[in-house]
Amino acid sequence: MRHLLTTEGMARAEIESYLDDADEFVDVLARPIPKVPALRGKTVATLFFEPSTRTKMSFDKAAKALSADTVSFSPGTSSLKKGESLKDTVLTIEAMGLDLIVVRHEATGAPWRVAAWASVPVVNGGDGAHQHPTQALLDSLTLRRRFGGRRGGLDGLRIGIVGDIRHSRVARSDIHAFTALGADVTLVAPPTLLPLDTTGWPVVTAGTLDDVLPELDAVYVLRVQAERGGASVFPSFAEYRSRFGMTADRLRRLKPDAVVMHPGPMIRGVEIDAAVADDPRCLVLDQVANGVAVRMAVLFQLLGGTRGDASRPVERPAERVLVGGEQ
Amino acid sequence: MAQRARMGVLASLLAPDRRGDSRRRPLNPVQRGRKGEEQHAHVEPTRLPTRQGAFCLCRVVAVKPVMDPEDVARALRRIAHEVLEQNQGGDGLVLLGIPTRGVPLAARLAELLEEIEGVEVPFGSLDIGLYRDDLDRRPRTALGVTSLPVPLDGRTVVLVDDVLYTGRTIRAALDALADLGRPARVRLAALCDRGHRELPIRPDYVGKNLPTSTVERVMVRVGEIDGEEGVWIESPALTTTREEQP
Repeated sequence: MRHLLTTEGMARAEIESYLDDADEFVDVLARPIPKVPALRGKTVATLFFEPSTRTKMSFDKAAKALSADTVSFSPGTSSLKKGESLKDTVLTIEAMGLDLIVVRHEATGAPWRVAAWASVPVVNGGDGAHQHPTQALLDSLTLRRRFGGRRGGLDGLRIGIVGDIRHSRVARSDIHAFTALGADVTLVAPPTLLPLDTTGWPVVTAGTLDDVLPELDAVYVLRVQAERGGASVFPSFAEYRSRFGMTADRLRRLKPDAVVMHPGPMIRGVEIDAAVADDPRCLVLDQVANGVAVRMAVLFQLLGGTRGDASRPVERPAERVLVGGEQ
Repeated sequence: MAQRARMGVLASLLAPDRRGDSRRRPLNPVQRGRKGEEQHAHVEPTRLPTRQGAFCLCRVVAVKPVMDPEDVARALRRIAHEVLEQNQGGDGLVLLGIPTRGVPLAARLAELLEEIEGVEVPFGSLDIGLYRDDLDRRPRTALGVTSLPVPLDGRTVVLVDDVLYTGRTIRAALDALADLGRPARVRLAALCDRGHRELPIRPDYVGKNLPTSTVERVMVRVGEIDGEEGVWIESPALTTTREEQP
C-alpha cells in the first residue's frame, strides 16, 4: 500500500512525478469547468484532530475537482468526546468503505499508526512538529513554477527558512523536499528556536537574517507557533521582528527576483510585515492555489492506477522484451 | 542501439524496484528490416544478473514491418488532402494530438496543411489520462500535456492518434473535449486502424488499415520521439520465456 507520510528519504524522481502531475492539475483548475472524472466513485476521508483552514479545505477541493466524494471528521463533535480511541475511530471510518484517509494529528507519528491499521492509502496532513509532506510539495511546486518552469528540480536555488524551525513540521518537510530537488537550504533562527540537534540535516544555519539576506533566492518565513510554546523563548515580538521578521526594509535588500513565502496562517507585524505580505513578490496566495493542484496529484497518484487489492483483476500490459537482434 | 544499452533497458524493465514506476518506460527499438520481410527477434538466451541470482529470459517474437518512413509520410500527406477536401479549406480547423505519438503526428499534419493550402492550422495536445475508463485496472502512467492552442468553441477539431484500436481512447478524448469547450464538429484521424472496436467509434481519416489479431501488437515509432520511424506488427506467436535458476 502506498502512503504519503513524509518527505524524508523521498527520491527526487518521486517528488518530481508529483510536481509534474500537479502542473497539469494547475491547468485543469484554470479551466472554465475545473473538474475531471478521474476519481469518480472514490471517497476521501479527512480526519483533522487539529484545527486547519487551508489544508482541510484544500484537500476537500482537490478531491472534488477529481470527482471524488469527501467525508470529514472533526474531533469536537465525534465519539472521541465519549472516549473512543484513535484506532477504533480509524477502523470505524474505514469500515464505511472509504478509499483514502487524510489525517492531521497533534501527536508525532500518528499517521504512521493510522497507516498500520488502515488498509487504504493514508496521507499525512501534518503530525505534531514532525512532517507535513503535501505542504513541502506545494512549496516545491510554487518555487519550481517561479524559477524552473515545468520540469526538473530546484537546482542551485538558495532558500532561507526563517523563524520557529523547532516547532515547525513545515520546515522539516520542506528541508528534505527542497534539498532532494537540488536546492541549498539555510536555516535562520535564534538558537532557542532551532532544534536541539540538526546534525544529519542537509542544511547550514545562520544566526541572523541580515547576514544571508542578499544571497537568498527565496525567504521562507515561518509563523511563531505560540500554541507550541514558540513565543516563550525570546524576549518580545518586537525584538523577534527586529532580528528575524521579514520587514519592508529587508524586502528591499533582497535580490530583485527573490521571493517571499509563508505556509500560513501569517501573523502580520510579527514574522512578516503587512507591506511584505501584500507585495507581489510574496507568493502566499500562489502557494494556496498550488496546494489544491498538488493535493490533486497526491490523491490521483495514490488512488488512480491499480490498487494492491488482490481481489481486483489487474491488467498488466505485457512487458515487451526484445533480446538480441544484432544483425 | 548497442547491445550494452539494450541490456540496460532490459535490466531496468526487470528490476523489481522499477515495477509500478509511474514514468512511461522507454520502448525498445525495433530491428530494421525491409517491408514485408518478417524478422525474428534473437533466440539466444541472455544471462541477466538479478537480485535473486542470474537467470535467463528470452522472448521470441515475429516482427513484421508494415510501414516505412516514406509510407508514413505519404499517408499523412493523403490525410492532409482529405481533411482539406472535407473541410473545404483550412478555415476553422484545429488539430489535437493524443499523447504521446499523436502529438508529433498532429504537428506534421499542421505543417502539411500549411504547405498544401497555405493556411496556418493551430495544433495542440489533448491528454486523456484523467478520462480513462480503466484507471482502476491498469498501472498508473504519468499525465501527458493538455495544451489547447486556441479556444475550441465553434471550430472543427481533428483528433490525431497513432493507432485506433478499441476506441476507448477516443471515447475518453471526446469526454475531455466536452470539458474544454464546444467544438462545431470533431473528426478523427489515425495513422493506423487495427480494428477490434469495442465502442461505436469510427475514424474519418486513416493512414493504413491493418488487419490484426488481438494478441498482436502494433508499434508505431515516430522520429521526433523514438529516433526512428515506421510501423511494425509484433506477433507473439513464437513467444517463449525461459528462466534458468542458478
